[in-house]
Amino acid sequence: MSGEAMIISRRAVFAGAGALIFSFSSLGRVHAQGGGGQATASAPTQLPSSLKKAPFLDSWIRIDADGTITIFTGKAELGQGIKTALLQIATEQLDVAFDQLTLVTADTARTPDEEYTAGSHSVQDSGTAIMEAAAQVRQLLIAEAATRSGVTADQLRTEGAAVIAPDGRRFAYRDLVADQMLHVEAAPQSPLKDPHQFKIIQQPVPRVDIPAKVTGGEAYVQDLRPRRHGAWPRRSAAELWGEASQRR
Amino acid sequence: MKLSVNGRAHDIGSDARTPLLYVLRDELKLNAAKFGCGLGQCGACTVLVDGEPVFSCLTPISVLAEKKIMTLEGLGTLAQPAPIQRAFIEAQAAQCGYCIPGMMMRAQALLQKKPQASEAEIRAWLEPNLCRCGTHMRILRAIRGAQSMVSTAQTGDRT
Repeated sequence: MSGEAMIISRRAVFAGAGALIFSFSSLGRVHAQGGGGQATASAPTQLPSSLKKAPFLDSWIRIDADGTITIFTGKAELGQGIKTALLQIATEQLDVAFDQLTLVTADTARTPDEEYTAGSHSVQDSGTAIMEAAAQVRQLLIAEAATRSGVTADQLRTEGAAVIAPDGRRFAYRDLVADQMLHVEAAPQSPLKDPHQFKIIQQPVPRVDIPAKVTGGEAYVQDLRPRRHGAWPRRSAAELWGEASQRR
Repeated sequence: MKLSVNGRAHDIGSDARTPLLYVLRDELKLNAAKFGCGLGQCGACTVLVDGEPVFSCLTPISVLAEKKIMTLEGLGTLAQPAPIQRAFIEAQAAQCGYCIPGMMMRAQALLQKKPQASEAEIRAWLEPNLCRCGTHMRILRAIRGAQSMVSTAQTGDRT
């Protein structure tokens, strides 16, 4: 199935008012893509999707000086494959390798609060937020590389977690990020990639959650065994069973 | 008492009447065997006891003293997956994945007994295990994949 066909059918399906408004503004952004510089809000609109509640770019994407790139989502993997899908989205807009990204899901201490994981909203809401944030992060990195290189942003391209100048100079994302660079609020419009240029969205990517699920890794709430936090006055089922047996 | 799990002897502190599943999950901290129904009706808790699939949620450890218990963790690891694990990854044979360890252990028992089991035999053999996501066709594909991996490996050994 081509991506366009998928997008159109999704639009048709999600005929809710909010989704429709988003869809049209998304189309506008696709055509507006290209060029560097700051994301301009020539037609100021609301921030899309989950960016409304968590507008800071570094709520969604963090780039550390050691090269670790972390994506945050408030949605939980329940076997829908959203870890994989969200990583595909981030990979596409950031121009990094798929397996270079780390993803943190639904961690109340670290991720945006996106409420329920339900109703097929994860890619729609969180995926859109990550897509927009990633595109804007990429733009900020290009702008920083433009300042450092003296080359205008429109001559710079990104590939393999680096900004590349026409003369071949590479500026790795990790070297470009400064302290608070990504701690800025998202703009309503993002320089999104043209879907025709997508490299990993639309490709079948093996689900990243499956290997743990077939080898006994931690994959479910039931597999979490909190030790310090939450200090539940909890006994194991084995202990409870023993007590129940003794009472009989 | 002592239990042999995945080739290792473990000192078990739980009451002898405790179902094996709780010992595996709570005492030995093994994640693969799942609590589904607790009634032996879904198969999510399936493990091997002397090569036979059993519902660990129903089996008290008192009857397992001399037995060899095998869970999914005993077959292979993330770094070195067993054929059945590789086959399930290759076939992407999981949606939520909660039933999958039980499915895999029951399938593993069949592959050990009858490596060339037919499609009909595989389907009949897996009947006790339920999957609510509807992953059945991929599960079957994965088991066929594991069959061919094992037979290829055996052919390779002989040459």
